[in-house]
Amino acid sequence: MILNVEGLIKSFRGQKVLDKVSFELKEGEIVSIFGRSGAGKSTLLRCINGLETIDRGSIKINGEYLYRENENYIEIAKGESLKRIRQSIGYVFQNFNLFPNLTVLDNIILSPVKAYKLDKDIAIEKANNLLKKLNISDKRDCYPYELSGGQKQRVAIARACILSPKIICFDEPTSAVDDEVKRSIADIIMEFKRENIAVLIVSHDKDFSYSISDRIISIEEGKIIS
Amino acid sequence: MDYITNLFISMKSGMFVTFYIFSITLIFSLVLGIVVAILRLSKLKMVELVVSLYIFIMRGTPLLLQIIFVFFGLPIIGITFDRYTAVFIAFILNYAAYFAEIFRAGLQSIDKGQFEAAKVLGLSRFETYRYVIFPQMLKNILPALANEVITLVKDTALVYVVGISDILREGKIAVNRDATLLPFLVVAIFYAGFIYVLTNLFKNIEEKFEYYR
Repeated sequence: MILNVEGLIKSFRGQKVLDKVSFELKEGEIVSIFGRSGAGKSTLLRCINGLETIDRGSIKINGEYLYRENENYIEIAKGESLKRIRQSIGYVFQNFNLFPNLTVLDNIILSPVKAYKLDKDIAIEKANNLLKKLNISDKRDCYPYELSGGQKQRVAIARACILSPKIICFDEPTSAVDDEVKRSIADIIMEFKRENIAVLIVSHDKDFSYSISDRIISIEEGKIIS
Repeated sequence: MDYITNLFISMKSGMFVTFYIFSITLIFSLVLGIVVAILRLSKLKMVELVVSLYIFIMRGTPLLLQIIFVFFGLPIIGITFDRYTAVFIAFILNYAAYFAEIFRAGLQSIDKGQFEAAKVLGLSRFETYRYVIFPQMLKNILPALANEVITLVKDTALVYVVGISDILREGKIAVNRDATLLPFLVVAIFYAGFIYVLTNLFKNIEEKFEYYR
């Protein structure tokens, strides 16, 4: 298993948002977390990416614990272990969160070059390959404000992929996109599957989720119902 | 005309003093301002409280009074500074408080998603601020920063209170000596020229940041 979520509980101001959530993700598997707004699906994705702390339970990514429940406290991964975990998981935000002050290329290579000390030329070569694959090579030197929504999303995908993660998470990838962009996102996700990368999608788009997923996890009021 | 040229030459040291106080204050208060802004956003209540109190005192009382307090007030409890040190302490503490508020507003204007994106990409706190947050923050705060820096140029005139001979004080001496108001015109030209250079400098910096939106 590439991802194990076990007995995850998360509350905001005493209100349980996630209640004993457990599931697993295999290599190359596409899983959609489906549910209504406020069901807790985005919070779940944020917990898996270490953007929210958890109250109980554990999250294990690529064999290492991001959160691990001990007797009275939650142990959080630190230092090199946390870096390895972050390298194993990519996150494509709903609104992409590209850095507006950096070009497309710099957005993609910032993390590998600065955080992971990858040689800049190698990072650029990897980024160029990704941009080519995602059909946006001509936007390499553009700034995010010069891109359309679909192009921004591809840059965000390239940024999340540059370190060859084992899992890629998408938060509402089809919100506010037309059918053509939707189809191209589905193609990109299927390509990940072929490369044995697991994909975790949070969506309220039932058609999209059902059409590309191997498995659907339905979540309601913080609980997995099926 | 010769008289005005001679006045410019004779007030050279005053101009230097004004420029010197301005530069030292600017450099140190900017650095201290960043530190104070980060502390102001601290999750530790005590730190946030102390920093807020400091900012309130600095912004709530006149700079003139602060200079008087440091130079004339502190010796009462045995803490003595020379004129320049006293002036620098008061100016730097005062301006750092204003800059800190500008930086804080700038930091808070950055979308939370930028911090989160940097986090999931594995960037350290330093890398996040260095490559993502500060460049964006600087673009947002430049107009407010420019205003404050221009105010600082004019505030340097307050050093007269401890007897430091800046350009304005030298101008006053010349007015009394020569029984003409022309030295004040020279002083005004100096301040206006100085501010003109700074205004253009900030305009250029703002233009440099226009490469993205």
